Amino acid sequence: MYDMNARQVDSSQTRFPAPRPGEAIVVGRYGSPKGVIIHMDDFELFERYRRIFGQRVPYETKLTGAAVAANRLAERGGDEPDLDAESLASALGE
Amino acid sequence: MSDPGLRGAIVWAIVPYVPEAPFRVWLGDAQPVATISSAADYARQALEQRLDAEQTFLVEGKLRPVLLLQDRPLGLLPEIAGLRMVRLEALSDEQQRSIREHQEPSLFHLAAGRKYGLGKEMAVDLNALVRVHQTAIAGRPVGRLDDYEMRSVGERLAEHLDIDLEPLVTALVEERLEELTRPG
Repeated sequence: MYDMNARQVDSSQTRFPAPRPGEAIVVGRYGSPKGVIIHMDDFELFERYRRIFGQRVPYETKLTGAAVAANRLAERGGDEPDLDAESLASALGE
Repeated sequence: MSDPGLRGAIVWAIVPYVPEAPFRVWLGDAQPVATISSAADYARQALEQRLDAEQTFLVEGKLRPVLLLQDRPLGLLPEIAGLRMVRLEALSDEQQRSIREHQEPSLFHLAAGRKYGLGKEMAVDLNALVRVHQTAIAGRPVGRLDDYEMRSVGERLAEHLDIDLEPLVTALVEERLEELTRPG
């Protein structure tokens, strides 16, 4: 598996067909594919997946102070000084 | 109107706390509650056959709003995975602001009001996966997350649980690319 880098090319320096979201334009020569042009939305989705898959560190190492505080509070019920009676009554149809 | 199902529903349910040492075991009406200091101690007692086949553990819990993650259209499995929710008011002002401004990937903000059926501002805690039995749900859903919100929760949850989705997504991407690049 290799790292993927994005290279910026000014649109005035090249000409290519404009892809639609969800479309991949395969550029070939003599019947052999040379590259693929995809829409920026698809590229961003691809980058998002790479960010998710590129990481192999446990998510715990990324937790913020707020995430830990909220979790510890709720695990022992400390976040709820009183019952949200309005919401609970609505669950019971009252 | 079709049944919107359980996935994405916010329900009130009985949620026990995760048991932790020292473990308290109920041995019967006339017996004092036993305390077992650690899981290893419990295992030793089981090995030495000083325990019955199973025990009744005393675990605290409470009625809480929970976001359900799964549908059960066939009713084959009565337990449903969900995420516990947390009230914002006990957190610091800075932490609350950070959650409201969507700066906290672990805490999905839910405003008080009709959409989510909450009288108090809350957040879905991506670090608090729970299983809820259908019979532990009180009444009907009070609110609901839409499909877009559930996709966001699902994406974050896979990260929080350290689940490796790469093989699955790679296969889907390859399948899709093959469809897109197929001649004709």
